[in-house]
Amino acid sequence: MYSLHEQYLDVASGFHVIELRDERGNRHLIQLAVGHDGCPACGAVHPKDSLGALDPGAAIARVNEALNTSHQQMLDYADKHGLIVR
Amino acid sequence: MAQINSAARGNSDLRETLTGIHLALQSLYAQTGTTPLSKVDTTTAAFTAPPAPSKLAVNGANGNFSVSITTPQSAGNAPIYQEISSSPVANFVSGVVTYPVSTGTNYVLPNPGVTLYWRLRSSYNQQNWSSYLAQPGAVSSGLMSSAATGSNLSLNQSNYATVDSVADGSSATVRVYGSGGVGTAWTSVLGGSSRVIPSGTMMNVAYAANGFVVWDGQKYQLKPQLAQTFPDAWVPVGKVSVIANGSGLVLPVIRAVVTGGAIVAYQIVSPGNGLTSAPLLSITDSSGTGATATAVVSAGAVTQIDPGNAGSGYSSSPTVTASGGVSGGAAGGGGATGNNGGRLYADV
Repeated sequence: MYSLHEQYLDVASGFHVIELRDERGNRHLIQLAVGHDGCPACGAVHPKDSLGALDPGAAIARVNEALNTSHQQMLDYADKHGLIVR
Repeated sequence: MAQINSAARGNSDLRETLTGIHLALQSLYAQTGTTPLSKVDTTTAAFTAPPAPSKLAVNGANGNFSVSITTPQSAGNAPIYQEISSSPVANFVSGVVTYPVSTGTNYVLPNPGVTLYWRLRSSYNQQNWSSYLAQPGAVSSGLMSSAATGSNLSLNQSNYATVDSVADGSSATVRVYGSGGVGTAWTSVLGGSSRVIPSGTMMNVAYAANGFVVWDGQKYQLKPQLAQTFPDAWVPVGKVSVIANGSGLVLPVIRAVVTGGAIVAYQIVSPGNGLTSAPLLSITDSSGTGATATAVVSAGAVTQIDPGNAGSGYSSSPTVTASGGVSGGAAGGGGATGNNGGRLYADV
């Protein structure tokens, strides 16, 4: 099952980066855009106006649930047919 | 000694002289490690003198060495074999590369970004060679431009990622995933090597944002300009356009022309904007039925309506409603409340 591995704010790109990993080392990135390119020439990033409405915890839970749901479906299939999981 | 006695025939002075010569020669052979010469009437291997040196000219440009050899005028019709070699040092004591012997006189040798010294030697029989003729000075091949590379060289890059966007309330979510569907990793191929890159979900992306998605080694970035995805270690993934009904897509307004209860023509009141596929036209009326029509889209707007069935029983003002208009989008167009607020329209 996927779970939170690490998260950080990348100021250069304006993303709140959240990395999920499962027990096999598979990775999935959730990236919340908290900034936007204010200047294409110099790459300066400015904060978005909607930061107050962002809920990172809810985003993580939602994506994590979606990933684990599909993962669970495969495990259920393996269980139904007596397959070992590698 | 039997030969000396036979030759002297009792002449002791001659035998003594010949014996002295024989012993002197034996001493000389022992000192020099040589052996007696073969008889002068023994057949020897044919010897062919090498040709006069050919002229060598090597030029470098666009990652290639262009080699041109001029053979001597006296060569006639006899083929002259040429052996070219190169070295990074002027005296050819190290790093020597010898190219296959050939009678050709012009070569293009790809070897970008190096500086080499060049030399040549010639032969008629590939056994007896002339002395080396070195071209004065080193030659630089220069760097190869991308336009000069052939197909399937290691510079080629492709990926197996899907990039799309879905509506998520007041913003959109851009997703990057592999062939296994959302949440699965994808493979980037660069020449003969490949690597697996994790899937990603970029949230809170503004509508009407066109961007290029790039993997920077740690995370995805969404850049407005393609050139911003060009740092060497980055992997361009795809181009995505995120639109919504309210900001990017304007559906056309169509009016039907009715004669005798049948729809005989259509008037384009407003052609719309931002269309990426033909919108679906539905014709409703209080009394008429059966009429069909198809919209033709060019440059994001409706340019023509092709009438289908004219139908019958229509009043003077049937309603023509356009919907869709987004390639891959849900009926009604992408929007904040839809399930497909944007679309991928090109791979990088």
